[in-house]
Amino acid sequence: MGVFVLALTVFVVGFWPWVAPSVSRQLSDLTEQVPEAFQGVCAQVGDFPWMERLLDNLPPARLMSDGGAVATTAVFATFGALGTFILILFIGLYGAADPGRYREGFLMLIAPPGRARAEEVLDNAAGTLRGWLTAQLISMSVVGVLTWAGLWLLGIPLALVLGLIAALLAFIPNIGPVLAAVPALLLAVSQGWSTVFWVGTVYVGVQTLESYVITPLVQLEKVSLPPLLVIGFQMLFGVLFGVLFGILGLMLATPTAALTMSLTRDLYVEDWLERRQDQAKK
Amino acid sequence: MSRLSISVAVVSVAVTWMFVFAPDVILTLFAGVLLALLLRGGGG
Repeated sequence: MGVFVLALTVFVVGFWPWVAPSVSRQLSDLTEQVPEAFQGVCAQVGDFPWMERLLDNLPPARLMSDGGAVATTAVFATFGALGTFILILFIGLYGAADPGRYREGFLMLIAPPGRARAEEVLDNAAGTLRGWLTAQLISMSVVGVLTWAGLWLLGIPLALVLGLIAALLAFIPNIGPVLAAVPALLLAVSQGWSTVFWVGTVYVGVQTLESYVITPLVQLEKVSLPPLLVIGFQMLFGVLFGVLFGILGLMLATPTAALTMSLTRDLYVEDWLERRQDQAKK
Repeated sequence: MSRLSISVAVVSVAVTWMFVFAPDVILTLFAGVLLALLLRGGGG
Protein backbone atom coordinates (compact mmCIF):
# COMPACT_ATOMS: atom_id res chain seq x y z
CA MET A 1 0.00 0.00 0.00
CA GLY A 2 2.84 2.35 0.94
CA VAL A 3 4.57 1.67 -2.38
CA PHE A 4 1.30 2.32 -4.24
CA VAL A 5 0.68 5.64 -2.48
CA LEU A 6 4.30 6.67 -3.12
CA ALA A 7 4.03 5.69 -6.81
CA LEU A 8 0.70 7.55 -7.11
CA THR A 9 2.19 10.68 -5.51
CA VAL A 10 5.25 10.55 -7.80
CA PHE A 11 2.92 10.09 -10.80
CA VAL A 12 0.59 12.93 -9.80
CA VAL A 13 3.36 15.38 -8.91
CA GLY A 14 5.94 14.52 -11.54
CA PHE A 15 4.26 12.94 -14.52
CA TRP A 16 0.62 14.02 -14.60
CA PRO A 17 1.20 17.80 -15.10
CA TRP A 18 3.14 16.89 -18.24
CA VAL A 19 0.59 14.38 -19.60
CA ALA A 20 -2.70 15.94 -18.37
CA PRO A 21 -2.85 18.93 -20.77
CA SER A 22 -2.20 16.65 -23.73
CA VAL A 23 -4.80 14.06 -22.64
CA SER A 24 -7.34 16.76 -21.81
CA ARG A 25 -6.83 18.53 -25.17
CA GLN A 26 -7.06 15.24 -27.06
CA LEU A 27 -10.21 14.22 -25.16
CA SER A 28 -11.88 17.52 -26.01
CA ASP A 29 -10.79 17.17 -29.67
CA LEU A 30 -12.12 13.60 -29.69
CA THR A 31 -15.57 14.65 -28.45
CA GLU A 32 -15.71 17.18 -31.31
CA GLN A 33 -14.17 15.08 -34.05
CA VAL A 34 -16.03 11.78 -33.53
CA PRO A 35 -19.52 13.30 -34.16
CA GLU A 36 -18.08 15.16 -37.20
CA ALA A 37 -16.54 11.94 -38.49
CA PHE A 38 -19.87 10.17 -37.95
CA GLN A 39 -21.64 12.86 -40.01
CA GLY A 40 -18.96 12.39 -42.69
CA VAL A 41 -19.65 8.64 -42.79
CA CYS A 42 -23.40 9.37 -43.07
CA ALA A 43 -22.72 11.68 -46.05
CA GLN A 44 -20.53 9.08 -47.75
CA VAL A 45 -23.04 6.26 -47.44
CA GLY A 46 -25.88 8.45 -48.74
CA ASP A 47 -25.60 6.64 -52.07
CA PHE A 48 -26.78 3.39 -50.49
CA PRO A 49 -30.40 3.62 -49.22
CA TRP A 50 -30.12 0.45 -47.12
CA MET A 51 -27.03 1.84 -45.31
CA GLU A 52 -28.89 5.08 -44.65
CA ARG A 53 -31.76 3.17 -43.03
CA LEU A 54 -29.25 1.20 -40.91
CA LEU A 55 -27.47 4.37 -39.70
CA ASP A 56 -30.78 6.02 -38.82
CA ASN A 57 -31.41 3.18 -36.39
CA LEU A 58 -27.97 3.27 -34.76
CA PRO A 59 -27.87 4.70 -31.20
CA PRO A 60 -25.32 7.50 -32.02
CA ALA A 61 -27.65 8.84 -34.74
CA ARG A 62 -30.51 8.91 -32.26
CA LEU A 63 -28.32 10.46 -29.58
CA MET A 64 -27.12 13.25 -31.87
CA SER A 65 -30.58 14.11 -33.13
CA ASP A 66 -31.89 14.40 -29.59
CA GLY A 67 -29.77 17.39 -28.42
CA GLY A 68 -30.94 18.79 -25.09
CA ALA A 69 -32.42 15.64 -23.58
CA VAL A 70 -29.18 13.76 -24.20
CA ALA A 71 -27.10 16.55 -22.63
CA THR A 72 -29.25 16.48 -19.46
CA THR A 73 -29.02 12.69 -19.24
CA ALA A 74 -25.24 12.89 -19.74
CA VAL A 75 -24.86 15.42 -16.90
CA PHE A 76 -26.88 13.25 -14.49
CA ALA A 77 -25.04 10.11 -15.62
CA THR A 78 -21.68 11.85 -15.09
CA PHE A 79 -22.55 12.92 -11.53
CA GLY A 80 -23.94 9.45 -10.78
CA ALA A 81 -20.81 7.82 -12.16
CA LEU A 82 -18.58 10.31 -10.28
CA GLY A 83 -20.38 9.54 -7.02
CA THR A 84 -19.99 5.79 -7.56
CA PHE A 85 -16.31 6.26 -8.46
CA ILE A 86 -15.65 8.25 -5.25
CA LEU A 87 -17.46 5.60 -3.18
CA ILE A 88 -15.40 2.82 -4.78
CA LEU A 89 -12.21 4.81 -4.12
CA PHE A 90 -13.08 5.26 -0.42
CA ILE A 91 -14.10 1.60 0.05
CA GLY A 92 -10.86 0.55 -1.65
CA LEU A 93 -8.65 2.86 0.43
CA TYR A 94 -10.27 1.99 3.78
CA GLY A 95 -10.31 -1.72 2.89
CA ALA A 96 -6.64 -1.65 1.92
CA ALA A 97 -5.61 0.36 5.01
CA ASP A 98 -7.04 -2.12 7.53
CA PRO A 99 -8.37 -5.29 5.87
CA GLY A 100 -8.06 -7.40 9.06
CA ARG A 101 -10.94 -5.59 10.76
CA TYR A 102 -13.43 -6.29 7.94
CA ARG A 103 -12.16 -9.82 7.46
CA GLU A 104 -12.60 -10.62 11.17
CA GLY A 105 -16.01 -8.93 11.16
CA PHE A 106 -17.16 -11.15 8.30
CA LEU A 107 -15.72 -14.29 9.90
CA MET A 108 -17.57 -13.50 13.14
CA LEU A 109 -20.82 -14.00 11.20
CA ILE A 110 -19.82 -17.61 10.54
CA ALA A 111 -20.40 -20.16 13.34
CA PRO A 112 -17.10 -21.02 15.17
CA PRO A 113 -16.72 -24.59 13.75
CA GLY A 114 -16.76 -23.23 10.19
CA ARG A 115 -14.46 -20.21 10.70
CA ALA A 116 -11.16 -21.90 9.81
CA ARG A 117 -12.59 -23.22 6.56
CA ALA A 118 -14.28 -19.88 5.81
CA GLU A 119 -10.89 -18.17 6.25
CA GLU A 120 -9.33 -20.65 3.80
CA VAL A 121 -12.13 -20.05 1.26
CA LEU A 122 -11.73 -16.25 1.64
CA ASP A 123 -7.94 -16.55 1.09
CA ASN A 124 -8.47 -18.64 -2.06
CA ALA A 125 -11.05 -16.17 -3.42
CA ALA A 126 -8.81 -13.16 -2.68
CA GLY A 127 -5.84 -14.93 -4.28
CA THR A 128 -7.83 -15.71 -7.43
CA LEU A 129 -9.13 -12.13 -7.72
CA ARG A 130 -5.70 -10.60 -7.03
CA GLY A 131 -4.06 -12.86 -9.63
CA TRP A 132 -6.73 -12.02 -12.20
CA LEU A 133 -6.47 -8.27 -11.50
CA THR A 134 -2.68 -8.22 -11.84
CA ALA A 135 -2.83 -10.13 -15.13
CA GLN A 136 -5.59 -7.83 -16.35
CA LEU A 137 -3.65 -4.65 -15.54
CA ILE A 138 -0.56 -5.94 -17.36
CA SER A 139 -2.54 -6.85 -20.48
CA MET A 140 -4.44 -3.51 -20.35
CA SER A 141 -1.14 -1.60 -20.28
CA VAL A 142 0.25 -3.63 -23.19
CA VAL A 143 -2.96 -3.10 -25.22
CA GLY A 144 -2.83 0.66 -24.55
CA VAL A 145 0.83 1.04 -25.53
CA LEU A 146 0.56 -1.15 -28.67
CA THR A 147 -2.64 0.59 -29.85
CA TRP A 148 -1.08 4.02 -29.29
CA ALA A 149 2.11 2.99 -31.14
CA GLY A 150 0.17 1.46 -34.06
CA LEU A 151 -2.12 4.47 -34.48
CA TRP A 152 0.80 6.91 -34.09
CA LEU A 153 2.74 5.10 -36.84
CA LEU A 154 -0.34 5.31 -39.10
CA GLY A 155 -0.57 9.05 -38.40
CA ILE A 156 -4.05 8.86 -36.88
CA PRO A 157 -4.88 12.03 -34.90
CA LEU A 158 -5.44 11.73 -31.11
CA ALA A 159 -3.48 8.45 -30.95
CA LEU A 160 -2.64 8.99 -27.25
CA VAL A 161 -6.22 9.33 -26.05
CA LEU A 162 -7.37 6.48 -28.34
CA GLY A 163 -4.65 4.27 -26.80
CA LEU A 164 -5.85 5.29 -23.33
CA ILE A 165 -9.45 4.40 -24.25
CA ALA A 166 -8.27 1.03 -25.66
CA ALA A 167 -6.39 0.31 -22.40
CA LEU A 168 -9.38 1.21 -20.19
CA LEU A 169 -11.90 -0.71 -22.30
CA ALA A 170 -9.61 -3.77 -22.35
CA PHE A 171 -10.91 -4.30 -18.78
CA ILE A 172 -14.12 -5.57 -20.41
CA PRO A 173 -13.16 -8.72 -22.36
CA ASN A 174 -14.76 -9.41 -25.78
CA ILE A 175 -16.95 -6.28 -25.83
CA GLY A 176 -14.41 -3.62 -24.76
CA PRO A 177 -12.02 -3.90 -27.74
CA VAL A 178 -14.94 -3.57 -30.20
CA LEU A 179 -16.17 -0.41 -28.44
CA ALA A 180 -12.60 0.98 -28.36
CA ALA A 181 -12.16 0.55 -32.13
CA VAL A 182 -15.27 2.58 -33.07
CA PRO A 183 -13.90 6.15 -32.50
CA ALA A 184 -10.57 5.29 -34.18
CA LEU A 185 -12.32 3.83 -37.24
CA LEU A 186 -14.59 6.88 -37.49
CA LEU A 187 -11.59 9.23 -37.35
CA ALA A 188 -9.78 7.14 -39.99
CA VAL A 189 -12.66 7.57 -42.48
CA SER A 190 -11.56 11.17 -43.14
CA GLN A 191 -8.16 9.84 -44.28
CA GLY A 192 -9.56 7.32 -46.75
CA TRP A 193 -10.75 3.72 -46.72
CA SER A 194 -7.22 2.27 -46.88
CA THR A 195 -6.47 3.97 -43.52
CA VAL A 196 -9.71 2.49 -42.13
CA PHE A 197 -8.40 -0.93 -43.20
CA TRP A 198 -5.01 -0.37 -41.49
CA VAL A 199 -6.61 0.98 -38.30
CA GLY A 200 -8.87 -2.10 -38.25
CA THR A 201 -5.78 -4.26 -38.71
CA VAL A 202 -4.05 -2.55 -35.75
CA TYR A 203 -7.04 -3.21 -33.47
CA VAL A 204 -7.53 -6.82 -34.65
CA GLY A 205 -3.75 -7.42 -34.40
CA VAL A 206 -3.47 -6.01 -30.87
CA GLN A 207 -6.58 -7.90 -29.77
CA THR A 208 -5.25 -11.19 -31.22
CA LEU A 209 -1.86 -10.64 -29.57
CA GLU A 210 -3.59 -9.84 -26.26
CA SER A 211 -5.90 -12.88 -26.37
CA TYR A 212 -3.44 -15.53 -27.58
CA VAL A 213 -0.03 -14.35 -26.33
CA ILE A 214 -0.11 -11.71 -23.56
CA THR A 215 -3.06 -12.90 -21.43
CA PRO A 216 -2.04 -16.61 -21.43
CA LEU A 217 1.52 -15.54 -20.52
CA VAL A 218 0.60 -13.28 -17.61
CA GLN A 219 -2.30 -15.32 -16.24
CA LEU A 220 -1.29 -18.16 -13.97
CA GLU A 221 -3.13 -21.46 -14.42
CA LYS A 222 -5.27 -20.80 -11.31
CA VAL A 223 -6.72 -17.55 -12.64
CA SER A 224 -7.26 -18.54 -16.27
CA LEU A 225 -10.98 -18.32 -16.92
CA PRO A 226 -12.82 -20.45 -19.49
CA PRO A 227 -13.97 -18.03 -22.25
CA LEU A 228 -17.51 -19.48 -22.31
CA LEU A 229 -17.90 -18.80 -18.59
CA VAL A 230 -16.83 -15.16 -19.10
CA ILE A 231 -19.21 -14.67 -22.07
CA GLY A 232 -22.01 -16.32 -20.07
CA PHE A 233 -21.50 -13.90 -17.15
CA GLN A 234 -21.27 -10.93 -19.54
CA MET A 235 -24.59 -11.95 -21.11
CA LEU A 236 -26.14 -12.42 -17.68
CA PHE A 237 -24.85 -9.08 -16.32
CA GLY A 238 -24.96 -7.01 -19.51
CA VAL A 239 -28.06 -8.23 -21.28
CA LEU A 240 -30.37 -9.99 -18.83
CA PHE A 241 -29.62 -7.72 -15.85
CA GLY A 242 -28.58 -4.74 -18.00
CA VAL A 243 -31.36 -2.58 -16.60
CA LEU A 244 -30.30 -3.37 -13.04
CA PHE A 245 -26.50 -3.42 -13.29
CA GLY A 246 -25.63 -1.12 -16.23
CA ILE A 247 -22.03 -0.52 -17.30
CA LEU A 248 -20.63 -1.31 -13.83
CA GLY A 249 -22.22 -4.77 -14.09
CA LEU A 250 -20.59 -5.37 -17.47
CA MET A 251 -17.21 -4.26 -16.08
CA LEU A 252 -17.51 -6.55 -13.07
CA ALA A 253 -18.86 -9.58 -14.97
CA THR A 254 -15.39 -11.18 -15.35
CA PRO A 255 -14.20 -10.77 -11.73
CA THR A 256 -17.62 -12.09 -10.64
CA ALA A 257 -17.04 -15.13 -12.88
CA ALA A 258 -13.59 -15.59 -11.25
CA LEU A 259 -15.09 -15.27 -7.75
CA THR A 260 -17.95 -17.66 -8.56
CA MET A 261 -15.49 -20.21 -9.97
CA SER A 262 -13.33 -20.07 -6.84
CA LEU A 263 -16.32 -20.33 -4.44
CA THR A 264 -17.93 -23.14 -6.45
CA ARG A 265 -14.69 -25.14 -6.43
CA ASP A 266 -14.19 -24.71 -2.66
CA LEU A 267 -17.72 -24.80 -1.28
CA TYR A 268 -19.66 -26.98 -3.72
CA VAL A 269 -17.08 -29.34 -5.28
CA GLU A 270 -14.66 -29.84 -2.35
CA ASP A 271 -16.91 -29.33 0.69
CA TRP A 272 -20.11 -30.82 -0.64
CA LEU A 273 -19.63 -33.27 -3.54
CA GLU A 274 -16.22 -34.71 -2.64
CA ARG A 275 -16.88 -34.85 1.11
CA ARG A 276 -20.13 -36.76 0.52
CA GLN A 277 -18.19 -39.18 -1.68
CA ASP A 278 -15.57 -39.64 1.07
CA GLN A 279 -18.30 -40.24 3.65
CA ALA A 280 -19.97 -42.81 1.38
CA LYS A 281 -16.63 -44.69 1.03
CA LYS A 282 -16.26 -44.87 4.82
CA MET B 1 -30.43 -27.40 12.36
CA SER B 2 -26.80 -26.62 13.24
CA ARG B 3 -25.55 -23.12 14.01
CA LEU B 4 -23.28 -23.39 10.95
CA SER B 5 -26.27 -23.98 8.64
CA ILE B 6 -28.15 -21.07 10.19
CA SER B 7 -25.18 -18.70 9.73
CA VAL B 8 -24.73 -19.82 6.09
CA ALA B 9 -28.47 -19.26 5.52
CA VAL B 10 -28.31 -15.75 7.09
CA VAL B 11 -25.34 -14.69 4.92
CA SER B 12 -27.00 -16.16 1.78
CA VAL B 13 -30.29 -14.37 2.44
CA ALA B 14 -28.46 -11.05 3.07
CA VAL B 15 -26.45 -11.33 -0.18
CA THR B 16 -29.52 -12.37 -2.21
CA TRP B 17 -31.57 -9.51 -0.73
CA MET B 18 -28.86 -7.01 -1.75
CA PHE B 19 -28.62 -8.47 -5.26
CA VAL B 20 -32.36 -8.16 -5.79
CA PHE B 21 -33.13 -4.85 -4.05
CA ALA B 22 -29.81 -2.95 -4.15
CA PRO B 23 -27.64 -4.31 -6.97
CA ASP B 24 -25.76 -1.00 -7.26
CA VAL B 25 -24.70 -1.25 -3.62
CA ILE B 26 -23.33 -4.77 -3.95
CA LEU B 27 -21.53 -3.95 -7.21
CA THR B 28 -20.00 -0.80 -5.71
CA LEU B 29 -18.88 -2.80 -2.66
CA PHE B 30 -17.42 -5.50 -4.91
CA ALA B 31 -15.54 -2.91 -7.00
CA GLY B 32 -14.22 -1.36 -3.75
CA VAL B 33 -13.04 -4.76 -2.51
CA LEU B 34 -11.28 -5.36 -5.85
CA LEU B 35 -9.53 -2.00 -5.51
CA ALA B 36 -8.53 -2.82 -1.92
CA LEU B 37 -7.08 -6.16 -3.07
CA LEU B 38 -5.15 -4.35 -5.78
CA LEU B 39 -3.82 -1.74 -3.34
CA ARG B 40 -2.71 -4.43 -0.88
CA GLY B 41 -0.82 -6.16 -3.70
CA GLY B 42 1.14 -9.25 -2.64
CA GLY B 43 1.01 -8.28 1.04
CA GLY B 44 -2.38 -9.92 1.41
